[in-house]
Amino acid sequence: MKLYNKIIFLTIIQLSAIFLFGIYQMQSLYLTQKKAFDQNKLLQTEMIQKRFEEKLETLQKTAQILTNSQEVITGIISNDTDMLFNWSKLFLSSTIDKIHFIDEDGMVISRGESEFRFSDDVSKHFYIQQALQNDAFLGIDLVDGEECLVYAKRVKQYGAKPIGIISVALVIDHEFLASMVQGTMMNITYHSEHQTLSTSKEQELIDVSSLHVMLQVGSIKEATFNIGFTSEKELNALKEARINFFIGIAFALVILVLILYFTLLKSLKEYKMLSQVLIDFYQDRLDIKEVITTIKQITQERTTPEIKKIAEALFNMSQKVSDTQNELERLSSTDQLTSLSNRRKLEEYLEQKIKEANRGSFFSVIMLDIDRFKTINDTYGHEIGDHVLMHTSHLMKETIRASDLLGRWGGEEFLLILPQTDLEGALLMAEQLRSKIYNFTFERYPQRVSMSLGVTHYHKDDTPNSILRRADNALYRAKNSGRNRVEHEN
Amino acid sequence: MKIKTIIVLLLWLSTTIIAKDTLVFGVNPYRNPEELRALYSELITYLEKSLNKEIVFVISKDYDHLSSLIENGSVDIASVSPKLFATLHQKAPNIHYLATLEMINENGQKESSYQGFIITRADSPIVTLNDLRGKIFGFTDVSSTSGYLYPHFLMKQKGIDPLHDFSKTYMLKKHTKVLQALLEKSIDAGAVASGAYYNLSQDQQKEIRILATTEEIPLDVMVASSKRSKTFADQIQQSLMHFSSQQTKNDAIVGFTQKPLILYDRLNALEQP
Repeated sequence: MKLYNKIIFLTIIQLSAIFLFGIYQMQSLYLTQKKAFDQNKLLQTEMIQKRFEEKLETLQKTAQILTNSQEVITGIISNDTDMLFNWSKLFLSSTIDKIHFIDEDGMVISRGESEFRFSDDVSKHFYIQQALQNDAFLGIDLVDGEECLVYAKRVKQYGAKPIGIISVALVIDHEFLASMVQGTMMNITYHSEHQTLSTSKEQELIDVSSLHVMLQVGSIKEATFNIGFTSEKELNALKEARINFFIGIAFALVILVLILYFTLLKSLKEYKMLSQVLIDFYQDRLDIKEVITTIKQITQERTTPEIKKIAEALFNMSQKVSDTQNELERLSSTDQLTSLSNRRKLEEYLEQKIKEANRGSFFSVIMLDIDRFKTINDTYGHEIGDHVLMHTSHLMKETIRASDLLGRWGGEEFLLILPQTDLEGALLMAEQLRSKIYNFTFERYPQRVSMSLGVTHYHKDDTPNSILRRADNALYRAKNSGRNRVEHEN
Repeated sequence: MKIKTIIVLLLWLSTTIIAKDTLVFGVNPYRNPEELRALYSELITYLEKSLNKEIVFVISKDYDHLSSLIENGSVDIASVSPKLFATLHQKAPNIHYLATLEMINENGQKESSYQGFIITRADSPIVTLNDLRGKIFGFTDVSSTSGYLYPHFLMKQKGIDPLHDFSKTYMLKKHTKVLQALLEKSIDAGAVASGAYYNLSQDQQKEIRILATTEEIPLDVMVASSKRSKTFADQIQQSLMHFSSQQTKNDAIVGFTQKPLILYDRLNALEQP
């Protein structure tokens, strides 16, 4: 698998793992919140239920206190409207809207909420009839035309003799409903045959449950209290957050992977370029010089510092390889003593010139040999012999042109290849060389040094052997003709 | 021990001194508290100056309550209804009669007596006292002279038994409440003091018809508790008799006079069946 595919794959794996973990966490959070939400809802429902029961309890307690008061009993017996009014004023509050004192005939003696309104007949009201029948009534009924939670209790003197009724009522209105759900997130609806009230504008409640109302059946039909939510705002917000999170994460994942992919593509491309250069070099598609050129190009281009560093290192390495190669090349092509080209190099060069000559070019060859070199060695020693060789080589090198290749053919024999030189030119060069050597004074060798030279030029279909043979023949004649001379062979 | 005794004595002395500087003045609630305070404010200011004492004005719960406050000395002086005075005088003859109130009547004149009215609504079908049978009637308090006793006696004289001939009878404590309940049609008829009627606006008076008027009733009495000394009572009496107000408002207390006690004592006889 390619490197960047590997990286992409591994990255996707890791990001996916993170993503999945995130989803799991988010889901857990959602479930925890939902659970808390449900628990909260349950608590609130219970709280509302408790409030309702407390309101009923307040009605009953108030009636109980009033029925137990001797003054109230005396007031009922004596129809003391004023005293009963003063008593009821003490108990009217936000939890009690109406307190009525009624005699045994069902006539109102006093109203706490209306000082001057009394003596009306309420005996036909359901709650009064129930109180007269059963001594008490707790339920919903119309009191002075308003739907109320009402508790009516029979008043008995000495606990035995009925003297009247006390009714304590709480009007079922918006204020009442609002007080039930105050401080909660819930809403409440009251429905009866006469009216429907709700603390919610939307009227429709979600997740509805009924309040448990332990009330006696009253004259009001179908009276029910329902509690619920108008909207699960909190939960919906949580759901939305969860979805947004998932979408966001997925989106981020995709974007990250794409960015990573393209970044890798761009970054690795340059690494790939570098590695391709090395591969091409290894597979001989590029030589070391081309490698150096390519890498130099890379270092000069806009690229990452890492690539630049690698390229620079490669460049330096290539440079070193090139230098080593050149050195090796030089060592393999050079005669150690004279620093002239060696025989291998000469042969190579000769072959090359022949190839070029076959395509229309021309050249000449001069074979040179130091006369009586063996005698010099024998007489003065190899050290002097080497000295002569070296200086002779140096002199010849000074004389030839840059395009000419002079090399040591062997021992005291030299070969000079003259590109783009005809025979005449070669003879001139040969003579020049001979004269220069002959007239030179060697430092450590007291005598003159002469050379014999054999010159030839390229013939069509020449081979290295054939041209060398002619040069050699010419040399041979130069040697046999008294040495220190130039001969040629066509 | 000695030090403790001294401290206790000093405390008692200081409370006694403090107590001596305060006078408790009680009234029964025949009107609402604000009206009562307004009615007696000038008199109280006068007495504070004249007696050099601070006066604590107390409104009792009802007539019986005031009676017990006077008897046990919780109030030093009180303004009581004629009937209540008659009852108190009968129960505790040592109670000090100080003076009878003088008030401005509906004609702007000073008077020391008033009347009780039996009233109904002007648009009511009730024309005579006889028409009251089977109706709903409102009194103030059984101890009220004009709000109960005299009207009760008057109706009995006319052959109406208030205890049995009405369909319902309600005790409303305040004369103003009787009037209001009548106007709101909670009662068909009621008994009030003349002063309370004349305090209504002209328009309200027009809505009410007077069915019957009682004989003259002496006005309320200022008394001092029998727990106080004669010297104290005389001092208060003297102060009261020198009181004179320039008020011209109907029902204002403008002075005091002396009336024979027999006028009050005979009220006890009115209760006899």
